[in-house]
Amino acid sequence: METKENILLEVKDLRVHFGDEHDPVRAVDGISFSIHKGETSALVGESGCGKSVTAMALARLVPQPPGIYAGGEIYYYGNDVLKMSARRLRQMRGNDISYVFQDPSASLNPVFRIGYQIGEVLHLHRRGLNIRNESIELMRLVGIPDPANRLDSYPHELSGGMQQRVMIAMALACRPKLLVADEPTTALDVTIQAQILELLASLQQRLGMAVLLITHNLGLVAGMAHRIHVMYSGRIVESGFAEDVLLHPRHPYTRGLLNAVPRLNGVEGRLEGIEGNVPNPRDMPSGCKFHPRCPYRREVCIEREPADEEVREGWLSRCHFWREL
Amino acid sequence: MFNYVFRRILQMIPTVFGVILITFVLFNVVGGSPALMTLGRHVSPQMLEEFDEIRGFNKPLILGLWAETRTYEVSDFKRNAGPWREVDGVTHHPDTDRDHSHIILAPDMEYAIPLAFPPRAGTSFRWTLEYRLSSDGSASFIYDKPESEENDISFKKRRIDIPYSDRWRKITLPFNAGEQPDELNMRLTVEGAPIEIMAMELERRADHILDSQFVFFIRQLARMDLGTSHVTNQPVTRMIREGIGPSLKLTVPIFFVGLFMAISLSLICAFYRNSMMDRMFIVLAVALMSINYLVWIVVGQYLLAYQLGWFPVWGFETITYLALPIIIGVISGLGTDLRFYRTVMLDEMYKEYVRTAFAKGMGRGGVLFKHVLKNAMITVITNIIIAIPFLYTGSLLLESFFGIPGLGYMGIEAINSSDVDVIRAIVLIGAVLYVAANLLTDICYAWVDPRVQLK
Amino acid sequence: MTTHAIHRDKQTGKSLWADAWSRLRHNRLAMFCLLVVILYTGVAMYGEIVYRWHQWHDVTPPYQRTNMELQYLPPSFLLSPFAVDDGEEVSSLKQAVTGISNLMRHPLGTDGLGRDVFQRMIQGTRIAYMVGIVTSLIALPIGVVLGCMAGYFGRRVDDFIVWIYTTFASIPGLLFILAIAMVVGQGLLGVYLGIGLTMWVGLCRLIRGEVIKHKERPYVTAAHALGLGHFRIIFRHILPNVFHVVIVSFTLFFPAAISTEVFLSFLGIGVEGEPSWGIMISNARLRLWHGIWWEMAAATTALFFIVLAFNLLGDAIRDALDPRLRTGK
Repeated sequence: METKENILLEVKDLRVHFGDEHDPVRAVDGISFSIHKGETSALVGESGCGKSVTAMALARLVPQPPGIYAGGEIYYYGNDVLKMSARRLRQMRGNDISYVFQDPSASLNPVFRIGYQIGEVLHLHRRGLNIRNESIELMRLVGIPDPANRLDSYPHELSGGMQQRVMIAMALACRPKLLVADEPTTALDVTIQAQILELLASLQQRLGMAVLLITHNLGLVAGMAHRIHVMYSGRIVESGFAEDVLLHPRHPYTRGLLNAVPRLNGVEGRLEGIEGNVPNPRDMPSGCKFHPRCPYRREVCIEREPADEEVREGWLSRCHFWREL
Repeated sequence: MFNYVFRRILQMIPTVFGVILITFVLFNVVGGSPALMTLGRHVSPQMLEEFDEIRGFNKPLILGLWAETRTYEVSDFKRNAGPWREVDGVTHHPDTDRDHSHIILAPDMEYAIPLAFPPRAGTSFRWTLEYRLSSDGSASFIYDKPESEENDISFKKRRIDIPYSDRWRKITLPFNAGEQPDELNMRLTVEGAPIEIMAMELERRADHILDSQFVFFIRQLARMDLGTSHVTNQPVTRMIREGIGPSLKLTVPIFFVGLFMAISLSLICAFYRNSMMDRMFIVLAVALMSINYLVWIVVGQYLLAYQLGWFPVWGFETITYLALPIIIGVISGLGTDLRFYRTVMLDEMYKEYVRTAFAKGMGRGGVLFKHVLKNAMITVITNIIIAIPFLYTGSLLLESFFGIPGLGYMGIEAINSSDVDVIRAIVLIGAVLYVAANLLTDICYAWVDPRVQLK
Repeated sequence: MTTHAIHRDKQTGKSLWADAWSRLRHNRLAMFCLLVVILYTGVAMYGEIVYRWHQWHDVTPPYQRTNMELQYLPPSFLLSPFAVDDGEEVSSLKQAVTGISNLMRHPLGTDGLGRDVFQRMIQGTRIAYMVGIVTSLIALPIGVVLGCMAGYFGRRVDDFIVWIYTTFASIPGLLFILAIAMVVGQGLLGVYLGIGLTMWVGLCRLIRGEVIKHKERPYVTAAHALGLGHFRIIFRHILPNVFHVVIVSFTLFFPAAISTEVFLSFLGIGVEGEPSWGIMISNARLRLWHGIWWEMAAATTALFFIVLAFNLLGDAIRDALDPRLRTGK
């Protein structure tokens, strides 16, 4: 499985900074991971850890300024996204890599009809298609009832769940290789959240695309993701196959996140959060960035930042003491 | 939709009423006598009265039966004997610790009352008198009232007695001026003992209780009559009709050229946001808007028209006469507009739907001109419609400097010559247009922005 | 408990201001503008002292002293003040001294009546500040009080105040000011009232909006629960939290008032018998056509820099006080 041919997108030592060049906020500070064809990966972490910025950077969508791509490479089929021409980049966005964002009501343009907004993607990348029919087909695919009439609706006339389905239809229009879903359910009602996730999971299987799911909720990814990358303070602190990471976390932060997930089955263990707050990016702690909140903290954690250590093939942890966990 | 418009029109009524109220308060109450303000102090009281009569200023303010008249100058004798100064047998008693200031009319004389001009025909008047008269004497108003029987005019003597009073007493004595008041010869006779008068006032009776300045004003407006300019002696409505054309010829090009430039430049700023160019435009905009309008005009006219001779200096004959005022108008407004529209564009640029558009694979130009511009149009259209009233009222300074006979020119002339009717009319029309434009904006909102529904 | 609540309010207020100040201090352009504003304030105060002194002693002040022999003197630095008559032997020290005294005599020249333009410019600054301050003292309290009341009490009070300000907003601004100034009578009082009574509308609208937002905040509910009076809640609790709106409005209001005064004086409705910038521009306008530019230049330059400084400072203060309103960042 770990062959080069299977890799769709490879991120190497990506660094994205914000603000002043001389005194930047290091939102993403050297992360590496790869996304495999047809696989669902999850990028998990608290808000402010840089996961959304990472997601945006995959198609160079972080606005510059204030964003700065300070280093690293993102290989998509051997081409570095960060060095692509603007033209090539436009061809890739929406066509090879597409996005579903957090708040559909803000992410859809309020003054254009839904049909127009879906059709726009097709118009950009698939000229010559019957855009109207194709749009209706897409809307049916994502489960919007009565698509022919819905085509002429404005976004505000739909419910949040329907709006998110429209976003997904837009994202699927060109059958992308990779769908990046940035907290796709956070702005929705709890009951709708499950529907949207199910939809994403079934579409992923039907269309055979890769999905990168960005979320702060480890519970959400349990049933869906093949691989999990846990981010903290602009770094990936643990990454590996879902069953490994979820069942035997090798980083105290992953443990904390797991403890914060409410479980319906069983009463064992109480629900805990992680003490303290995400560090201020302007005032990062020394050594391991997690040490101020870490229950297993020792002297060495304050002095030296741990490097990636391989637990097993394809399973990395950034903790000095992963063996002891 | 129709219901909404209808309701909004109903909502406009209080505002229009408020505007009418403010203009009324401003010119009829605060302003003191508009006649004095317009004609000055050196005209005869009769002319002032005529001015007031035409414009309804000689009526009670809002409600009431009795109004001041200039026939007899109101006098409290605080400083001098007022209108009685020149009358023989009258002495003035200044204010002392023991007694109020008053005038004393010596006994056994008949005094011609110093009226400024004969009272109005067929009208009721009343004297209000604050006086002191001992029981030794008597005093009465006497007037010869002409009564015509066919061709023969005879005079009938009328007499209003003033009752005795040892202390200061205030009474009102009504009388009727008759049909030919020119012949009215009104006198005051005093016999036996002197009469002392502390205050004396003549008031005219209005036709009915609603015969007031306010009702007059409203009725005038209801007839679409905006009064008559005392300077040109023309109806104000006609002057305004004639002035609108030249004003629009100036303001419409200024507005649209300015709008086009401001929006184009703001799009450039948005496209190259945070670049050197963007920053340069912003500094330029602030500098432009800090230069006073006056300076643009004075210096522009001097340099471009007078020194360099590129444009005519003054007048309104051919289209070339408009070129310079238009250029000055555009430049002087550009700074403010550019800054405003840049903020609008940039606000839109940071919205989330812009990110979606980029994620679809659109180029920066496409995102800007399609997605951002259409959203920004909501604000732009509001701004356009709100500007409409100001297009009508013209540009005060540009027009008067370049001799363009529009409403702005008219306004400045009216202010210089204190032409109350013209100023009041322009203020009113501007305000009513503004209120109407507000309604239009709301309707247009619904037209451009699908989220807004007229309910 | 009351003291505790107030104490906390004050603390957040203080940190907001301190925070804004520190942000402002790092903005070099803003600091420069602040310096310019302080400089103008100093000049205006000096002008006031000169004016008062001459009024006290009942002497014609230098800016009113006419001298027909010194008519239309160009600025002294254009007259080669250090030049020496031919054949005259002068020590370089003496030459420097006479040169400087020549330079100081009429640094910006004289006008058509031989009055010193520099002195008149200083007096213009005084008048501009008077207008800016007095009109602010009229307009800001009206805007704040009405805005707070409308936002806080809502319902009938709100309807009434909104009615008042929509009515005021409907009337074309400049004409309204001109009409008030005309009706009140010529002179500064008319200018004060004209500007002050028309320009409170914008602030009132902003304050009303802010107060409506704050009315629902927990701290207001808490104040209600403590049984505080409406007056106290409005002015001690809500107002400090919306006061930044007043500050930003003031920095935009001040230059607008100054510009309007110039405009009114230019039209002959404002100041009479005293050298306002508007009167200087009005006087200099026709002389400009004869090539006498310095009076025009003095008045317009003085006007330009104070307005520019206030505009830039206003922007910077707004950015510093209210990061949400920041544009382009």
